[in-house]
Amino acid sequence: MKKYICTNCGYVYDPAAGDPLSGIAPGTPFDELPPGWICPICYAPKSQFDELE
Amino acid sequence: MAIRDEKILFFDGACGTNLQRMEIPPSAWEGRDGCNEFLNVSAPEVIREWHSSFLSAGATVLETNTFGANAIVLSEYGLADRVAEINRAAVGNAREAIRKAGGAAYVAGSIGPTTKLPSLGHIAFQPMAAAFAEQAKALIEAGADLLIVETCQDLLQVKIALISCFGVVEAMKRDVPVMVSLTIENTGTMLVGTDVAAALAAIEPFPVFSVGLNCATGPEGMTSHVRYLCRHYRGRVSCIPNAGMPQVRDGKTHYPLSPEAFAAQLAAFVRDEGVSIVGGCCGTTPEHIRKLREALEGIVPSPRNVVEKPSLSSLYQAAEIRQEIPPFLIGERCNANGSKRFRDLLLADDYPGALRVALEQQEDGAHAVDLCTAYAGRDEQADLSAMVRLFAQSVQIPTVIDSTTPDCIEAALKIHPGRCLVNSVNLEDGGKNLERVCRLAKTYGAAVIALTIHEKGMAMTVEEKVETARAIHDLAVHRYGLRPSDLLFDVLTFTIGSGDATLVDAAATTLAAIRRVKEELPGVSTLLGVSNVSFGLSPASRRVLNSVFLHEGVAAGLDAAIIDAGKVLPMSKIPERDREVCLDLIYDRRKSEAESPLYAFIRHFADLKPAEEKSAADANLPAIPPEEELAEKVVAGDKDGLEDLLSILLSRRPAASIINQLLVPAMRRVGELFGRGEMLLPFVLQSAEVMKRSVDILAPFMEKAEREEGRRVLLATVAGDVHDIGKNLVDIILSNNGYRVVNLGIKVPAETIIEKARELRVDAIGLSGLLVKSALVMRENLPQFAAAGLRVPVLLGGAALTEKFVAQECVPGYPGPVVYCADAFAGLSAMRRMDEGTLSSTAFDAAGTAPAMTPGPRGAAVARDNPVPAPPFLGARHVDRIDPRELFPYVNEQALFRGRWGYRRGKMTAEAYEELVRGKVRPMYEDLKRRGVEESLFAPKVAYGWFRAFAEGDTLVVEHDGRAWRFPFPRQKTPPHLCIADYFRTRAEGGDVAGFFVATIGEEMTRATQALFTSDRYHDYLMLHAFGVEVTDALAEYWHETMRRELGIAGERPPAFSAYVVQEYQGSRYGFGYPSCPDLSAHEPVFELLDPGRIGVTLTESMEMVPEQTTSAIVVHHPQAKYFAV
Repeated sequence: MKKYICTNCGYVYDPAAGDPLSGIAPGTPFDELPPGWICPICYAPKSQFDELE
Repeated sequence: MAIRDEKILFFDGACGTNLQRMEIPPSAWEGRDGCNEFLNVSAPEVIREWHSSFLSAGATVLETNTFGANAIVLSEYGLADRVAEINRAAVGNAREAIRKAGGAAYVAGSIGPTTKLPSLGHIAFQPMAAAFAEQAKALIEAGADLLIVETCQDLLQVKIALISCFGVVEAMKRDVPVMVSLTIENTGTMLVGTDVAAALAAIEPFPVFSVGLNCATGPEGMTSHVRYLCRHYRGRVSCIPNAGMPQVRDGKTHYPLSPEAFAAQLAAFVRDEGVSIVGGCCGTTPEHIRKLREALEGIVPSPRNVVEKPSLSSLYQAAEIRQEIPPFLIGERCNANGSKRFRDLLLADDYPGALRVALEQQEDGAHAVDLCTAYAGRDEQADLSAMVRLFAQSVQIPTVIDSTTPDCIEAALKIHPGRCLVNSVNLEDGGKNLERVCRLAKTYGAAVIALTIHEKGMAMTVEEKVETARAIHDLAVHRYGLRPSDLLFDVLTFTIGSGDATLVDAAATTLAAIRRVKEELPGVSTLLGVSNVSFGLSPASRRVLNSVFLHEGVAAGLDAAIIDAGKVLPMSKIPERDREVCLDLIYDRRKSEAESPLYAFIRHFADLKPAEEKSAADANLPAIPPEEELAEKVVAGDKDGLEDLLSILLSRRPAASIINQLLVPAMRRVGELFGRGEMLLPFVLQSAEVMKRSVDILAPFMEKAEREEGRRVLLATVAGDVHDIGKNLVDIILSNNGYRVVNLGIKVPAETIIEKARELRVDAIGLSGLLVKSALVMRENLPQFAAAGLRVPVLLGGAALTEKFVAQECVPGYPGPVVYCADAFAGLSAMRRMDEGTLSSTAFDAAGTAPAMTPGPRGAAVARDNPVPAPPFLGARHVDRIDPRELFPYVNEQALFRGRWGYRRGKMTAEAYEELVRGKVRPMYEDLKRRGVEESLFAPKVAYGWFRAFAEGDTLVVEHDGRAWRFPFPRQKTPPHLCIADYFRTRAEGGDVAGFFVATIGEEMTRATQALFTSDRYHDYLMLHAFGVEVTDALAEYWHETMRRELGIAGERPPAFSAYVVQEYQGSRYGFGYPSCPDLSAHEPVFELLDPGRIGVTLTESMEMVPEQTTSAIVVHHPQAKYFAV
């Protein structure tokens, strides 16, 4: 599964790890994150994430 | 101690302004009122008293009262025959004062500029040189320890003075150091227009003791010039400023800078830049010098990292011989033998016409212009002198003096104020001419072109070329005192277009010789008369061959080329096949049995139809209609050939139509591409630059009314807020999409906005602001606008704004539309809706939005028993020397590249994105880092400290020096209900320790970015501004780590930058104004605790820090502390 990087602060969402700070379980692909999900470090919205090479 | 060994020399203070305040018996003037120098003879006790006052203040060098003691100035007072006597008396007075004071000091003979400007023809070389020589001789004979040629306003006068002084010093066989000090006006140049780079280029070849500045301004006004000298000149740098800029009070001139402030500013130059000679000029008193000595007690000049840039110069500006993008182009068309047009103008005695040929080459992009007036039947010296005089005043770029007659060369060098290049010398006559010309170059500080011609003729083989070059090099350097950097070797190039079998490898030989000369004679530069390679071929094909050969030459190490700058084709404009054919000819690569590379070349270019061949000289001939080409240029961000293209279009349609029918729709396409994610912001800005440049070119062709068409928008950053990158991006986008923008700048109060909106009858107002506070200011401004009768739409933008806030709190306060705009394109879209009549206020639909998530550490309650580390010290400290290179590893490159610069991957494939980063983004980043250091854009400074603190509910109480400061922090309203105060122990629990810092990278970055914006360099503006922001963040990261280390909780360094992003270290920092403590009023106690005024940081009335690139934070050590938002 693809990782995504927050273009505002550099935080990397790794689907294998999920996002414990917002209660997202490991194994959740980026596209399936809830609509209100924001970067746990800087609160940027999903639209500001880039797929990571 | 020898004067050369003194670490710092302390010159005295002002002469004139101090003498004016002393009691001088009227009879002492003997009718020559105002001639201060005469007082040396008629009232020596006054002069000695003046000297003594500075000796007791601690000056170690006294300047003699001889500023105007030369024949030229003294003749105005009828004293021209007493030059020697007056100078002698002046030195004697200084010596007597020193003897009486019992100490030791040096005596510097002051040599002023006189009242005549030779660059403007007020006086010729000879009479001025004679006057300086007479004065210098008198001063040295009387025992001056050194000479200072000061307050120089004219670069030619500088050279004449230096040549005279060194001539005297050599003749008298004495080791007397000669200083040179320039006066650079507030305009940034010397009086006649010379900038500091041009001046240094001309002065640097002379063996001066120091180069520096005096007069005109106070120390601060000299900052960028002093920096330039300290960073690009290997010798000592002097700085002798006025006591500030003079003001007129009650009819008297008053210099306002206090001794303390003067001393502090000047001491900073010594400490930070490495200046090693200081003193005071107009307005400075003994007190200024006393404070200066105090301020520099125990300080030595900082070591300097000097990058020398061998350059030529005109009267106005310098040009580096090693250009960043080689080659250095020398325009060849001002040559009586090489250009029919130039020759005809010369024969008709049309000097102004001949000058125009030089100016055209300057327009074409030449870095210097070659001038040759030798023609049978004409007086070369008269022509050359007249032309050099014209060139010196009217041509911005340096001049190459093309003559083989030493007398003509010398005549020209006596007239041209800048640093010239002499074309040329060789060993044809065994070295006699070489000796004469090299000695001239040494005397006048010129550079020299050397051709590889020996006594038996032109060097043909690689070995011969290299050996001839070496022979010339050894003579020039070891016998005549030139430096390798003064030499440009032309290893000669012969035509490969004549079919001569002995010359088929001539080009390749030339290239190989260039490589060897650069390798074996380090420090020299290389040059070629490129067009020689293509003699005999058709003009159109010559142009292509010359361009390809030039490119190969640069790859082999060629630094300069004599060529028609207007005819150089960039490789990107040369079709692959053309290039192949040229390379085959250059390297003699036979591709077929049947024909030689030369025939293949001739045949290939002969295939061009005659019409095409004629205009092949103008390779910009478009295959598509010019209307389409313009649109393509806008979308591609390509400014090349824009003027020509617009000229063509202007012959087909009026300027206003070009703008409205071609340019505006092209920009609209750009906006659409951006909106679809198919174009990135930096490219949008490059397109906007093309738009701006086009509009500027077209402006003179439009009627005033047409030029003022378009809806008017007023932009402002609200009161108390200094951020303007967002507003400026809106300015760029709107003004390049057909709107007329009035940008009021930053910190604009509501009253000003109202006044301007009315006065200019704007169609819309845009407010911008970064801070949370600014959002509230906007909310307050709107009812004020309403009360003043404004009804036009108001657009609101800023990081702290949300749709909800605008809809619920701003819209109701104003009768017109109030619209939230997330970025510049949203603003553009709003303006378009306004034009169409469909603009309405932002509305907020609570039901339609996703529930807000509040991420943050969950789970365990905050532990109360973690150990409290011992602070390394209590109170505030200030750090003002941080090497910016230490910060680069802490820069968040991903945030910079993707976020701030806008180079997002978006829909690109992984490979395409990697290529973009590798090929474009990363090189740009590396270049910015390099320039940032070289141009001193960073002055990182920190004010920080540790303080005893304890939590009291939601408030952190900080105690220091018997006082207490309270920091109330907000608490999250939803679980886990975090609050910063929770991470500190209460007083009952034993108290705690808190760290604070204020960190800045200084104001130079703000100045540099502002300069880019005002000169419409949008792309570079965004790049540099964002870079500055990220380096500031890097400084915060770096300093936070430093503080963790000082506190003893640093442990292992995080393994990679990504670890810093997620805070893989103990504790956290929280920036004031950010989500966990949004209230900036916390800055008030922080500023009282840390005194950041000492690192140059102040607060606006909204508690925002200035300069813009400054950040503050509280440092928390508790292991559970991490970022969170309230």
